[in-house]
Amino acid sequence: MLEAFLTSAITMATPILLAALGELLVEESGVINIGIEGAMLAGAFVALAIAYFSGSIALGLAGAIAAGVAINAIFAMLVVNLAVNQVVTGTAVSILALGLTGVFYRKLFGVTGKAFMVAPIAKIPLGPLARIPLLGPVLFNHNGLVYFTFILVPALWYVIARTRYGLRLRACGERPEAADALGLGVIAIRWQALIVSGALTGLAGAFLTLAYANTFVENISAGRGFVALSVVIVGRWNSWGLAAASVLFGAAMALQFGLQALGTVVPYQLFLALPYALTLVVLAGFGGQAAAPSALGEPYRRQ
Amino acid sequence: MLRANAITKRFGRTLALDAVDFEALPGEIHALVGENGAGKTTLMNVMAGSLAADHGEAILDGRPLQPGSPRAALAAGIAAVHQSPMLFERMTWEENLALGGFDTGAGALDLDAIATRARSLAAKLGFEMPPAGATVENRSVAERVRLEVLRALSFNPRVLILDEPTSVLAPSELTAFLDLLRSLRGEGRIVVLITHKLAEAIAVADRITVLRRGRVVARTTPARTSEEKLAGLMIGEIVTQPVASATPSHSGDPVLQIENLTLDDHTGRRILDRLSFRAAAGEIVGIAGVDGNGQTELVEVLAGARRPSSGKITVLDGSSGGAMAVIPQNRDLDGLILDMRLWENLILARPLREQVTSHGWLNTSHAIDLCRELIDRFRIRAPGPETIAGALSGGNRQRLEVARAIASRPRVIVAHNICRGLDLAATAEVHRTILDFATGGGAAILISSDLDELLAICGRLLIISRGKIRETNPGERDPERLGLLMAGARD
Repeated sequence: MLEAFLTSAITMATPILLAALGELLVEESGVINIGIEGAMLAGAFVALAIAYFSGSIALGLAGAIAAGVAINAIFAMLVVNLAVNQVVTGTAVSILALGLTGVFYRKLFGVTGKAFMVAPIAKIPLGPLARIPLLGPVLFNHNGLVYFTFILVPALWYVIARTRYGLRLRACGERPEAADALGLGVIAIRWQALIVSGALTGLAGAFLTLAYANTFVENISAGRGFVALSVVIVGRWNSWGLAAASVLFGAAMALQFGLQALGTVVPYQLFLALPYALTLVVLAGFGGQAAAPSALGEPYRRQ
Repeated sequence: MLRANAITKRFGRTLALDAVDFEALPGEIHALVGENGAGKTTLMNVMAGSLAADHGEAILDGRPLQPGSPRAALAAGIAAVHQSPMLFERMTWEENLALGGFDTGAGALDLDAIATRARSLAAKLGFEMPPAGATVENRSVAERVRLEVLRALSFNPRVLILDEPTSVLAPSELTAFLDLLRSLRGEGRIVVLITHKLAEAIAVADRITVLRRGRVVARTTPARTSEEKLAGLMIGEIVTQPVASATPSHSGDPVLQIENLTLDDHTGRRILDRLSFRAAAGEIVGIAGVDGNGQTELVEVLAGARRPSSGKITVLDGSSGGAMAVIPQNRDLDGLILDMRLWENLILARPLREQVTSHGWLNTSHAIDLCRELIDRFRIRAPGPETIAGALSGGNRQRLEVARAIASRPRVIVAHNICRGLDLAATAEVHRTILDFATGGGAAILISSDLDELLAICGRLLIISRGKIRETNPGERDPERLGLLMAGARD
């Protein structure tokens, strides 16, 4: 029971964390991308479609990366090059992806109501580690995407806090005009962050279809992109914090499934709302912007 | 050789630079002087690549610089020190310097090595560095300028352009700083010093170029000119004695009374230590001190932005209008909303807003008329009340703030570093306005680190040091003695 709950918590946390880490990079560069929900959906749909028709999980993952990057490239062109309002653009990108994936899904698979299933990504038990009681199955018996996501946590922390590249990234988020005066190329750096983030978000979407649901339904991301946004705030723009927050939200989702399965008299819709209610509660407590990059959300344009 | 060829730059309807030619040679300090809004900073930005000119080009050693590319300018060897330091507030000073030329770019980022290199350069210049790992946001303005100068020098530039670097340096640092410029000249570099301190230009420069309203009006050398001549060229009219004579210490009715004002910060450190002073009607009281001795906090407390830990502030008010108007030192951050129009900025002051509203409705045309009247009266150089505040030059923003403060008809005006970054004409006008205000029965408190300014205009002088305030005797006007008091000497 506990083992199943914790394993499920880690599984549920993975796509949120993956998307949130991408968003962290983007926000450190001074851009807020509300459109991650859209990149996630696009990744989820393209991954399933390619994996279904080609039978290759690897091609599906590659397709998800391409889809996430494409969505973020549209966003980057608008907000970085044309300095359009980031919140409006991000919202539009989300709605666009929701519509497009729905249309293409019906076009490709028809409206038969039949689920188009793919085989899930294989789990890779990590040798003897996976045999540790409780910890083994919870932490060391997952698919590659889960390991990749959690390895990204220290890796990204190191890149942002300790490397030259991270310094430049933060400079663009802190004071773009000063970064520009130092010849840092704000536009290029913001583009790079958005492209990397697009790849990560696309993979997060692929996780939903290829590792979790094994099929696609419309709006399969169900607000996880927005949860990822709040994870960045709750995690105080620190990748370790992001990991903790993601696991917290993952646990809320897992708890909701567990409670539904127990068949309590409480309507299950209340449990469905649990993760989102938790988001609100946590944000109310952590809402302060003290840790946010100073120029977050401000378009940068030279005079 | 650094050349600017017929550079023209327009911002909307304002012609900032009008076919400006400029030339500076290796091994020279070239002073670029002019009033606020004359185009000095714009010219610097064009040469440093931060702005692309509409016409004309900048050329270094015969090679044209890529317009609008700071990276190309830095690669060619042009480094700039901006008037408001271009630092990253929430990063440590080491990280700020790592973004400059102290970073070798090879291998892993080594902040310790960068700090060591920075400290050794700083030691040569006589700069004191902040403690290791300190973020920039809590450092004083002077420390920020030092950091920015260090970062510019870290690029080992052929050309160093400095925009008003000395206005925030302490007197003890100034000598070392000018020596630094001379030693850079000795190494065959080109130093362009943008300044409005004419004495400084004459003391240190080899040649001087004077800009007025976007045009070069004179090229001269210190030997062939004088402060008066330069001032005349800059302003384009004969300047009368720029500063009016000091007001005698007045014995009018007391207007402002401050008793035992104390402020502790959240860590319990004492910022203001039992300050007591009063100001009478018709009096201009100066508070002199080295930046960072509690002045900013005192202004915040007087403005009501911060609650004192204890003590009492009383404005003995008899008139209508606001009791006290505060002009903070950071006019862009604390004083004006740069995205709003001039008239909108004006009616941010409650007394003025009340003048133009009735029953909660704003009478826009009244507000615009009021603004137009103040633009004329205070000679604010702006197309009209509908102009965005951000489009004004620094001096005109300051005039707008002073206009707003005085039009609110307060009993007391508190102004912090009111003439920092202002040229002669603007300084004289601001001083004259403050004098008129005092003559009309108001009390003015001027807080400044510029002793000369205070000595010229204030009837009474207080010294603030480490949060404590003390009165000086009317006879005690020897700058050296006052400098010692500002530095914290106790008799």
